[in-house]
Amino acid sequence: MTVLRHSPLSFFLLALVLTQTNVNAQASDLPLGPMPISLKSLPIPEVPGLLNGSDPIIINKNAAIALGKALFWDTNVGSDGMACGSCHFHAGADGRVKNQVSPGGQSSPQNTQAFDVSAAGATLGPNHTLSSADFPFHQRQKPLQEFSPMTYNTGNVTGSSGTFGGNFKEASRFTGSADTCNRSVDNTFNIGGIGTRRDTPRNAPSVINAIFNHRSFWDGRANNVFNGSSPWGDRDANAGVWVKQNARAVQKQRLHLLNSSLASLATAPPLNATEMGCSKRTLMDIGRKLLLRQPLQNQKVHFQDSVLAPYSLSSISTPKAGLNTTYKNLITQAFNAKYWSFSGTIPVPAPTGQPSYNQVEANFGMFFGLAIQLYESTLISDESPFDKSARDAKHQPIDLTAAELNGLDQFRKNLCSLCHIGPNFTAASVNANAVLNQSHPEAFGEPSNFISTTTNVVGRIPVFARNTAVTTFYDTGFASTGVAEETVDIGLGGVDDFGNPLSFSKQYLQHLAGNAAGVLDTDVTQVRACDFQVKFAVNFKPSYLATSMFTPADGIKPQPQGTSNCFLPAATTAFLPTVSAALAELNKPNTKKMVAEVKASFKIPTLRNIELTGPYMHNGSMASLEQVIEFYTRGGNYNNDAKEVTRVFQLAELQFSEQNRADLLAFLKTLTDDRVRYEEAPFDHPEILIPNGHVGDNGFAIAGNPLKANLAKDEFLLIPAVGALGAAAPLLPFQDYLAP
Amino acid sequence: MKTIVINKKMLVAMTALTLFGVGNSQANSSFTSQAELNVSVDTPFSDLAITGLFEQASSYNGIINGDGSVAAVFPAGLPTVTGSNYAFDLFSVSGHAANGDVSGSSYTGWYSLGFTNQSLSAMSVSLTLNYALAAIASGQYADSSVSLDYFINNDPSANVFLNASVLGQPKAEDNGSKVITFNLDPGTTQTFHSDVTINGNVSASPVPLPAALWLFLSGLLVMLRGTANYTKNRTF
Repeated sequence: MTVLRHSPLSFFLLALVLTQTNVNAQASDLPLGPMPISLKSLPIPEVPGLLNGSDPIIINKNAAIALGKALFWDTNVGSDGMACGSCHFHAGADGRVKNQVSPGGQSSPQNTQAFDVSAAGATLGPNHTLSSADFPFHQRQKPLQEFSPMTYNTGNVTGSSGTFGGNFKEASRFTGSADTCNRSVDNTFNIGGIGTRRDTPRNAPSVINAIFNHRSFWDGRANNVFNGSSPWGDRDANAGVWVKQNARAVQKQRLHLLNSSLASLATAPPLNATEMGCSKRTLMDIGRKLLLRQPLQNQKVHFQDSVLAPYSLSSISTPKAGLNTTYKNLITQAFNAKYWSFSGTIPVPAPTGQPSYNQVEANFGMFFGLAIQLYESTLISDESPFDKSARDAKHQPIDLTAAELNGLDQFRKNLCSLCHIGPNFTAASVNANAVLNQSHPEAFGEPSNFISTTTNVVGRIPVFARNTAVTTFYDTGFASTGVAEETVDIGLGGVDDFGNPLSFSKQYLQHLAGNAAGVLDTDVTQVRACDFQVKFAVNFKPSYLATSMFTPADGIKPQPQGTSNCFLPAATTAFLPTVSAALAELNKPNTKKMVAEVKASFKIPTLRNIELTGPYMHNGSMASLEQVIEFYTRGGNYNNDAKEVTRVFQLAELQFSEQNRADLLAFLKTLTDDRVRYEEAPFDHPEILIPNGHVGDNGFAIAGNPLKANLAKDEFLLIPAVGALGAAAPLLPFQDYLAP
Repeated sequence: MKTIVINKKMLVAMTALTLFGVGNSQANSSFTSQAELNVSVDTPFSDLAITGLFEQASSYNGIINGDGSVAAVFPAGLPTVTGSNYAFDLFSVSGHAANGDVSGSSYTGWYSLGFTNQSLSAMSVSLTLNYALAAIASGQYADSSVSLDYFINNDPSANVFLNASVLGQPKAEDNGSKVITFNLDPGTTQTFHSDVTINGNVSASPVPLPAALWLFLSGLLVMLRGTANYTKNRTF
């Protein structure tokens, strides 16, 4: 049974007092929050060694981008026809409405979950076509009121339809799109014994502007550091790339590429048996399948494609599939020869009956990840009306309408801009935002309400956890807003493939307590205490009750880093607890000083093009921006322990003013770049045929898929190739595609 | 409207076309790649002993399906020595398929020249590696590459690489030379290596003739028959 734990305003006000926070949470008196600025101001975080230095990994950036674009859209990458672009074709997100429901979040095995009946009375099962009446997935009698009784709730998720699954056996190097896999009917995703395509347990976020994110995936498991072969960064002891030493020797070496979470991310979905691949398939197997092939072998490429036109076989009158080269050729053009020119074989076990892998196959994960990252680094939507507007002396975008400007004010007054901060409207752009801290301070708040924006990967914020007001560490760029119960999906509270916490905050506690083995990401060791929003350790005895702070009585030491440009006064706050003090506190069952509440926290998404990227939230539980605004107006759905109660609470200015809500919505729509809406360069793309449910409808499917007789016949969505000049028809918001 | 009547001769002709594969278009794919190397010693010393050798380092035919085939011709073990020039025979690999494929074939040859300083003083040896590399790919699908690595002893190697593919550049050539110098102490030996690897892949499958072509062929046969009948039946 679902239990709502309501947290009265007094709770968090008390928390504020107890924790000496700098945040003034009283909405009516709030000063304006940070002023968003143009995305043109935001630099792409540098990746040292990728394109620069004496021996860069990539020697031809344009070839690498072409390779990345081809790989992103090529349905041959998947085991049964799924490309990266299959779930990111619509403003960088997934606009499908059929067979898109997963029975639950990522925290439980899908076969332990069940499909619910929607608010409209339909079973949210395989092959269901979503309707507007199915949304939102959490409903209240009065949607704007925090204490209004819940009338409907489901833990089901609007995800993305992916593969049929199966165990990988082999794939042709020349022809055929599907891999040979042992496929069978899934226990969860089937209709009367006819297997249907599986659905992801989280919604697909947009890849546009994702290059600015410090970590990727909703739970941040795509590490900022790219190790060349997996999403896990330095955590993966077996990761590495094969580097030619000389003609007869090759060596596996560690790779440590900073600011490369999109490369880390790219290595995961092709191996995921729900998203794109059959299980037990490796990136080397994908390389073996693709290297000799024509990129986009079965997909037409527009003769005016902004990236692929030089390789396209199409003419103005005759669109043709494929490019005039091979993947291997693009790799040899793009990458340093030491990663592909070794002539021998690589000492990695190959599947039974298969020849040994060569170097270019063995390093395919690195080529794949970096090429896709470079392609995605071109997908920056900085031509929205908000970006193009002139600014006055107060940085107001004066070309916006009065309603839109009021919406901007609402956005700032109602604390949206505390999390959706900076030019990309997200604190997840950690390193990019930090660069702007000095040059564009207005983007991070007014002097009386300034948000610390540095390279710190953890911060401090008050919460009301386990019925206690405490100040917790949280991961910069991640937040719990109480969309769903934490048992449905613990998000950042989860662990990696090796059992280590995903959260940097959890690691930071271990770092403070002297447990070096518990620190997996070097960013954690570089956190400066003097840059926290809320004090952590001070070198004086406070005159107030300091339950969440270390003081000299506990044992403190100076922070090891420098103190230039500290957010807090360095003289009193650039301190940490001693290791023994931190350890002693960490071992207390009810510690208030060494707290890291991260369960059900998720990456804060960008708001750019938000009009087109529904459904919303990590679980796709809201179909429209109106529903999102209702959610924030009532202060969220659930008061999970990590919920940022000083930022997400019932908002009077929105609750009692339909006009303010309408204006806020109008402002959000100014963040849409028309190049995205019309798929103009750089957002143009090749043709793609996307599985879009199955022949039949909710509760009905027809067996006889060419992959296996007991799998359902696919229906497809054909997205035509678009050139640099874009499409004639615009992309529409998600709710416009829903069944009535 | 004229009715096409298939007579016995036409039936035989069309059956023959089908039986002999004319129902499918010709789909030969092939590659031929080769390397020819010689090394000239630019600073010959009377007491510099030089030995040349070619070794077949690895031969892997790849995975072969259908009628795919691949063959390699390796140089003889010893180079032809003319003065201070050491010329090796041609190293070539070719592959072919009409209804099948070859994937991942790889052949490597190791060329070496060993230099031993038999004098009592150090030498500065200079040599020139002359190479002619070529790769040709044709047909439905063929792809081949030639990779040349040259290096002294176990030092890092320099690489020359070319690739031919029916997708893009079907013919690639590189004729060049590289000058290499090294010091040789008295009584020591150093070896100059040139490793050549030729990789190749081919694939071909018969392509069914489109219906339009069948109509054309049928029409052609009718016309031929008509012409024959006309010739046969004319009375003047």
